[in-house]
Order: sequence, then structure tokens, then C-alpha cells
Amino acid sequence: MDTSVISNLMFGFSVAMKWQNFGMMIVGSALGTVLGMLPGLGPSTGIALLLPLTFVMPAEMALITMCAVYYGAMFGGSRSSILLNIPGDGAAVASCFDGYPMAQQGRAEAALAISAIASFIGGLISCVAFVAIAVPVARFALRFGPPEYFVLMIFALAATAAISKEALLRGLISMFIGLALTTVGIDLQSGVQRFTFGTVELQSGIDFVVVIIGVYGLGEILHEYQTLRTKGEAHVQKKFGRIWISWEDWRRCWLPMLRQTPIGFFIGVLPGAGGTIAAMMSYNNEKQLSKHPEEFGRGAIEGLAAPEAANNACSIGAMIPMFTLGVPGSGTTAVMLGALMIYGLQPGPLLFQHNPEIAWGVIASLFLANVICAIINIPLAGLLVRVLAVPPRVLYPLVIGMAFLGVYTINYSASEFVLLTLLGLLGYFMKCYKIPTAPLILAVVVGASMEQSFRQALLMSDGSGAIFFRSSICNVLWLLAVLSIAWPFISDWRQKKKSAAADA
Amino acid sequence: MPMRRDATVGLFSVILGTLYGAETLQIRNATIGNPWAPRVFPLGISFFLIALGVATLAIDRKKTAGHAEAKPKPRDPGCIKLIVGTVVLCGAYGFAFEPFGYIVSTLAFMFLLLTLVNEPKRWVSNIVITLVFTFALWGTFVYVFDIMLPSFNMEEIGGWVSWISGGGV
Repeated sequence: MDTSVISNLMFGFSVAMKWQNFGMMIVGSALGTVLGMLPGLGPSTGIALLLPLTFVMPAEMALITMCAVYYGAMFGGSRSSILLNIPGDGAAVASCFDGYPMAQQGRAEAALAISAIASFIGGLISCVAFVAIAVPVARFALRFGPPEYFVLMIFALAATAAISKEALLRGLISMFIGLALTTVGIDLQSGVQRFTFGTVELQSGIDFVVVIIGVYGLGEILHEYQTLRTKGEAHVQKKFGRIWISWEDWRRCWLPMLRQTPIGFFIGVLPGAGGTIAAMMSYNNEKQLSKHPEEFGRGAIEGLAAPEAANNACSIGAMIPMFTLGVPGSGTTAVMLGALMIYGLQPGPLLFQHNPEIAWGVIASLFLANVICAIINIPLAGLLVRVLAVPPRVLYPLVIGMAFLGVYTINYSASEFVLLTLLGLLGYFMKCYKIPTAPLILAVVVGASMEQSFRQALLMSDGSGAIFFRSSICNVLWLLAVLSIAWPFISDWRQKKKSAAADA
Repeated sequence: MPMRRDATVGLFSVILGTLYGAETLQIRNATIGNPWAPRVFPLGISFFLIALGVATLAIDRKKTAGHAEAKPKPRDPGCIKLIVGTVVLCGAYGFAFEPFGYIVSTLAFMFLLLTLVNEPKRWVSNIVITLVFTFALWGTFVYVFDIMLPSFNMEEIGGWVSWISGGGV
């Protein structure tokens, strides 16, 4: 790490430590923790709902707040896994496996403490790795022209859409629906109207915030109505002893946390592979490495520590492609990338040169938010988990009300309320039919700049598609895109081969 | 007979791609540069939506060939009532927000939504939550964020009334 990186980081700390920014960081971390622990509302939905409220803030404060919400949500996601056996979001699923049995055995305090400690350690190590990697990657990204960016976005979208063999086609369909939504409105290069159907409201296009709030917020709640009807209300433990761990617990956990953090971080950097994969992979790895694999699933504390560390490391890793390349690697970072664009900032390598206060301020805020979240989630855990006692039948109408007001603040008009409702129905339809929503969100955020890069590249080459294969960067990215689509099939084939060999 | 999940998704994609492609062909030519430029990207999207839809249908057909159709789970009518009710209320809120203003429309919207989701028998708590939510957010937006929310607009309501009675607009 060279000295300029350290001085830039110090500058970032001076930005993040301004009292207004620091105050919003505390508010964001607490809000994120609460949103993260509420089943059905993960970090993506939380950030999407809070995004319009940041419009009144300066850019650096808005980004710092959103990162704090994201971070808080990653910490908070495991609370409901441990206490209710209901994960706050997909990334917290693995925390149910051993966290809930621990709570059932009367060890809820140790479970809550180790999940926060593991999240803190995983997050802190990943922040250091982020600082070390971000600048070299951003420098490398300066070599990218329109064709490279177009192929990079194809790779990011393909990797997100192709999470599993079963969902491959549905993921790709979701991605193309997202791209189709970005083509609505006046075409900026030719001034021609596209898909506006003669309505003035659609001429400026469909704001991606409306899509995000509709699909993630409203769609999620419509889908959760089923759970509300079938599962009723859960009862949550409200009285706790000292939330901390014993020396024996620490002895069992420190190594799993340290060895699963790099895995989570690396998975986070890869577009598409999010916190759920990081947490599940680290849980399975740890089970294989453990001397007592039979204890996993029955309250093994390392079975909770490992996925929690990996999950938080993953959330930091996912920010690298967003900040350095301007390409989001997950639904949540897509929402944050969109926020950068709302402020007229150019995400990608130039962000570090043109807006160092934002790039470094946000990076420094990750270190601080990590500490704040640990403080919120260990000593105050007993207080915060009372939020879980708010029944969903009250919570969901409140979230819907917030979603509508959030959309109103985009352009101070209620004209998009009907669109929001339709997009909520689209989100509901997608969830019912198991169509992943992350590729759609990613496509909505990058779609417009993807088309711009595509057309700029074709202009440069007088319409020849050969420009998309002009450099080794393009070719490597094409290879990665093809590999990411083929990977679920390769992995499936390897699994079958392995089990056939085991049977023989 | 109810449709299978993959078949529905495939069909949806094919129909969407076809309609989107047909609408793409209606886009005007660009007056500067390549006249087809505004259509190229959407045409690609349309092609892939149709192709992916066809592939989904083909795989679904192959998967289910010779297998008896699994009996689908019956849909919970209570859940459908919640979804339809929420969608109708959301749509109505969109139309009422500007003419009736934030306070009136939000009070009505939140109370009806809570009555639907939190059940009518909890009417006291529904009223309290509605009042707290509406006025707390109004105060936050107006005094903290400095964002003005729409107020009651008699003129616009008059326009709506005359439109409904067939006299105006």
C-alpha cells in the first residue's frame, strides 16, 4: 500500500468524521440494522426505500448514509435468523442453521454476540483489502473505452443472471425485461421518442428508483402477504442476559472467521455471486474443515461465526466493482450506483480523481460504520431486537406508505404512483414464478449507459461489430461472460461425476 | 387446466418480446446519423426475449413429457383479497394524492390499508397508527427535509367531478 493511499484514506476519514456525516452514519447504521432484521426487508429494499430521503443531502453524506444502511442491514440480517429462525435476507439464511439451535438451547446471548463479532472482524479485514485493491483496479479501468465497457456490462449482467442452471433462462429473461424498461423515453442520442405511447410522463423515461421501490419494496410485500397468512405471528425473546461470548467460544471461532473472510471477500468482488452464496459456501467449507462436523446444524458456534464473517466480507467486496469500474455486482450495489448517478457523479475510475472526497470519504466511512454497527449490535442488541415484535400486519402498510412518499420526492409528482403499483405487481409476478429480480435491477441501472457504450462503439467503428473484439480486455471479458453462463452447467456436470464416482 | 410455472414464464417472455418488437418497429427514424440507430438495441432485446421464451417453453415441454401434471396448490383466497385490495388502494391513492392533498388522501389510504391488512376489528389501533404515520411524516418532510407536500386542491377536484359527470375536460 503506497503512501498516497494512506494520505487519501486519512483525507477520507476527515470527510467521514465531519459531525453531520458521522451523525448520519450512526442513524444509517441503526436504521440499517433495524431494516436488516425485519424479515422480508433486506438491504436492497431498505436502501431502495430510504434512497429518496437522501435526495436532500449533499452527495457525500447521502452515500455515507446509504453505505451505513447497507452495512447495518448486513449486521442486522442475522438477528431474526437467530431469534425467529426467519432470515432477514438471503445472506442470513446460513445463520439460521446454528444460530437458531443456539437460541433454543438458551445461548441466544452468545449467538447474538458472535454474529456481531464475526461481522465486525470480517468487515474490518475486508475494508483493509478494499483500500489495497481499489486504486490499482481503478487505474486499470482507465484503459477501458466504450467497447470494453459494453462487454464489461454484458459480463456483469450475464454473471448475475446465471446464478444457477435452473434459474438461468429466467435470470436472462429478467435481465432483458430490465433492459427493455431502460429504453422507454426520449432517446438522448437522436431525440426520438421510444415506447412513450404519447404520454408526457413517459418522455423522461422510467426512473430507476421507481423500478427499484416497485419491484423490491412493493413486490416483496405483496409476496410476503402469503407468509403473513400462513405463518401468522412469531413470538420473540425480549429478555437477555449479558450479550457476550466465553473464552471457549472465542477459541472455537477465531480461525473459522479468519479463513472464511477472504472467501467471502473474493465472492463479493465477482459480479452476481452475492452474500447468500458467500455465506452458504463458507458454512459448507467450515463444516468440511471442522473436527466436529456432526455438531453443525445443532448449535455449533463456528457454524454461525463463519457465514457471518464471510457475509460481511462479501458486502465490502461487492463495492469494489461499483466504485472502481462503475459496474454493480449485486442488487444492493446497483441501487447505490444509481444513487451516485442521481448526484451527477461518474462512477468508475474517474470518481477517485474528480470526487476524492466522495470515494475516500465513503471508504473511510466503512471502517467507522463497522465499529458503529458492532457497538449497536452488541450492547444494544437486546433493545433493538424488540423491533421484531412489531407485527408484519402493521409494518407492511407502513412500508407501502413510505414507498409512495419516497417516489413522490423523485420529481414532486404523483404521476408515477400508478407506475409504481404496476411495477410492484411485476415484482410480485416475478417472485411467484421464481424469476430472480436482481438481474432486472442491475439492467435497469446500467441499461442506459450500456446502450450508450454500444452505440458509441458502433459509431467509432462505422457500424462494425468487430470493435467489440478489438482488445485483449474485450476478449477476456467475453470469455468470462461465456464462462459465467456455462459455469452452472460445468458445476452440475462435475457434481454428477463426483457422485457417480462415489456410488461406484 | 392451470399452466405450469416455466410454461407461463416462457409464454410471458414470448408475448412481451413480440409486443415490444412490434412497438420497436413503430419508432421513428433518427434524423441524424444512422436512421435505424434508435431501434437497434431494442430489436436485440426483443429478439432475446422471444428466443429465451421459446427456449423456456421447449425445456418445459421436454421436462414434463410423459409425466403427469402435479396438482397445483390452491391459492389462498384471503391472500388474493389482500393483494387485490392493496393494488386497488395504491391505484386510488395515486389518483387522489394531488387533488385531495397529502393529509386527506394519506389518512384515507393508510386507514383503509391498515383495515385491510391489520383487520377491521383493530380499528382503534388502525386509527392511531394512521394519525401518527400521516402527521409524523408530514412534519418530517415539511420541517426536516423542507419538501412541500400537496394540499387540498378544490379546483382539481371540481375538474374530476365534472369529468365523472360527463360535463367537462
